Amino acid sequence: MEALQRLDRRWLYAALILVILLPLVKPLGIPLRPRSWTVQAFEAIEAAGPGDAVLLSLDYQVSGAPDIHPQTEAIIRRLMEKGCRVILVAFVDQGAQFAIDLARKWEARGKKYGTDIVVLGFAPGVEAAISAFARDVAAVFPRDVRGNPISELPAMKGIKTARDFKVIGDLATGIPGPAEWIRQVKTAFPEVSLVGNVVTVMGPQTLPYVQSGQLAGCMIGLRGAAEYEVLAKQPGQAVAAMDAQSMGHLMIILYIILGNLAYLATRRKKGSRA
Amino acid sequence: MRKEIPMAVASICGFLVLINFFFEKALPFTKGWVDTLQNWGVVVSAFAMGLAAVNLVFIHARHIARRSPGWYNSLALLVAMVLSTVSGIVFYAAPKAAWAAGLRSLWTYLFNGLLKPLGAAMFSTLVFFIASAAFRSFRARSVEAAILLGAGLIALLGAAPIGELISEAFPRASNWIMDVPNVAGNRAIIMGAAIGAVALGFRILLGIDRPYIGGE
Amino acid sequence: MLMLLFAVGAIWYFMQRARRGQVPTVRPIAGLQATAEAVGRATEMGRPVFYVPGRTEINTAGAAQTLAGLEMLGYVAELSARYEVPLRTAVAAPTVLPVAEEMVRQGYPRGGEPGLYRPEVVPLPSSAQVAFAAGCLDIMHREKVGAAFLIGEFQAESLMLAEGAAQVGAIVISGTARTFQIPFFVVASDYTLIGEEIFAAGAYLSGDRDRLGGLAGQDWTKILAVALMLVGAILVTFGQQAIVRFLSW
Repeated sequence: MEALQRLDRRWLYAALILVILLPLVKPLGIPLRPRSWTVQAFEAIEAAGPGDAVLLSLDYQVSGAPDIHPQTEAIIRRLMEKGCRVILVAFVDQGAQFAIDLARKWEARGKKYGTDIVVLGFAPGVEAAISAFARDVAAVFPRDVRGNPISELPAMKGIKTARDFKVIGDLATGIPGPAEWIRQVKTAFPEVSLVGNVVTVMGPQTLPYVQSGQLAGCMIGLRGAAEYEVLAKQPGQAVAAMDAQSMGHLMIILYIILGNLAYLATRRKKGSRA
Repeated sequence: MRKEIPMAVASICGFLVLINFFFEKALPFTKGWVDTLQNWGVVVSAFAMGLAAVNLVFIHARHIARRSPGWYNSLALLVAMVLSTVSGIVFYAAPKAAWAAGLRSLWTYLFNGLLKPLGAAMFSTLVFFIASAAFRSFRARSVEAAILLGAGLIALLGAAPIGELISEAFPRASNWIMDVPNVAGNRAIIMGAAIGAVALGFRILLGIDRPYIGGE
Repeated sequence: MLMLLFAVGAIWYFMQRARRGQVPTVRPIAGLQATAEAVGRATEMGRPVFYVPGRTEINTAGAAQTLAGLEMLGYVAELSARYEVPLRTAVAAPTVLPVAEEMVRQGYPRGGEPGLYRPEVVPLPSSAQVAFAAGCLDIMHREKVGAAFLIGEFQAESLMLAEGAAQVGAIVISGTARTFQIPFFVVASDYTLIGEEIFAAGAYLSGDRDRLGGLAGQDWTKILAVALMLVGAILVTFGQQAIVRFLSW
């Protein structure tokens, strides 16, 4: 057991890679039950009907994208199905490029840019920019990312402040995140329906805001995207990745147990020597 | 005056935002001033990015000039910086110009072809750090560490669908841990940190602490 | 607003008391007590000290943590100068860069070695999260740092930095008020400052009377908050919404 203490970490990494890869090749089909906070998020977004404007703020970088971009894809797919107006914005520089790529993708699927989907772009300043945007959308984004004045875009008709959006969804990997949106938007416009979608590691800190009612719901990480896909009856890439995530979790648990067994064996040996 | 002017600016701007937050209805004229300040903040942040770029160029140019170990990485960084800056500016400044199409596709290639996969790859190395930390340091050295360990194991099993397959108790226990002790602990730390931030803000507004001009 | 006024009033009152000589006693905080030990150990090993004052801008809600990290950077710079051990600082935010440079530039003369400062002591590897983490890991592994201080607001890179420092054998002192990173720091670091302990760092390490007095004011505000919660919970249990209505006013 003490030999485990000296085990080269690369064996651990190799075993982990193998165990995560196998379910991607041969899925196990482990059932998935949506959690309450995802159901709340789903219901909040479902409240948007045909023609309603929904704002999605893609506040994430490429590093966190594998954990959160599937959520964005799942939400937009559902909103497009319902005929909502999707307005994409970013207060993190890299988020704007994800928004541009998504708009292009939905244009290729027959949706009309400017009517069904709009990308306003990126505004620097983090929380100050969110505050300014919430009070006057056109002041921060007089034009969209393609240079069109937003006053001329059908999707932006009637949108002056944050309260004009039926639902606001923040997708975040850090700062700005739900806390910043609550401070700057929910506090100023309590009637706004705000959904906070975060990466897995931010989940525990975001849930108190769901409990207090400041967030209408929350989707957490890749599992949140998978749960949303299940609720929307549109299983996709997130659901497919769940088996690999399950096996990865089991391996980490195994490593924790092995590490503790090795530690206990070493401590017992030191105790018997003393 | 080198210290007094920044202190005065910080104090006046801070008190103005505070007064506007609480007394906007009674003093509606403060809204315009605060909106202007916030817009200035957005502009200053944008210029600060330029400052960061200058710092990067300065440091990496020195590496290249001195042929420090790994200087070719600095050269790659500067080339990537120039390419992405030029193509990115064109992308946003001339979105409809046909002549800029080549540079726009370069920008798209740099983002989708290089930045996204590199960023995802680097982020995915986190799993190896987690594995290393799980094996090396997640040990039940004390009662508190054992409680942390137990809660972590339950949360891990509750978070993944396989936990539910093993036993219904795992997601229930995990949800309880997330809803009760986790929320309680989070709220306590958030409140303590918020009060600490109020105290720090108060000291900065009064000029007692001046970290924005280097402390003293 | 009443809570804010109480907090400010309490902080002001205890600051005045501290100025008159009634300085409050602060409980020992292991991570802060270990600061000098960590820098000393790096000196003995002949390896540099590495400091990261968080990753967020100075104009965000995390600014308080960043400023707390910068305060402690000044102290660590002073210690590094006194022990004549090299200091490496990495910042991720452009707005933090000039402040960090100034903290280090002023810390060195206080430690008696003004000539030690060089601009490359405070590089900005990148503003992007993983690029910054990669840059820090490169510094830590290439220079084999002996002590690593990670004080401020961090995100997913927290575990990378803490575990990366531990892998090179450095003593790791970390601290953040970002609750979802605290568990990673607790697991991977030798000492962790939890929550508002990082705000107490400046007061604790400097021994400044005003700041120590401010700590007492903060604690009384917390006591009031806890009292309101307890009384409110009891009243709500019996159907009385008075405290809830008062706080929602």
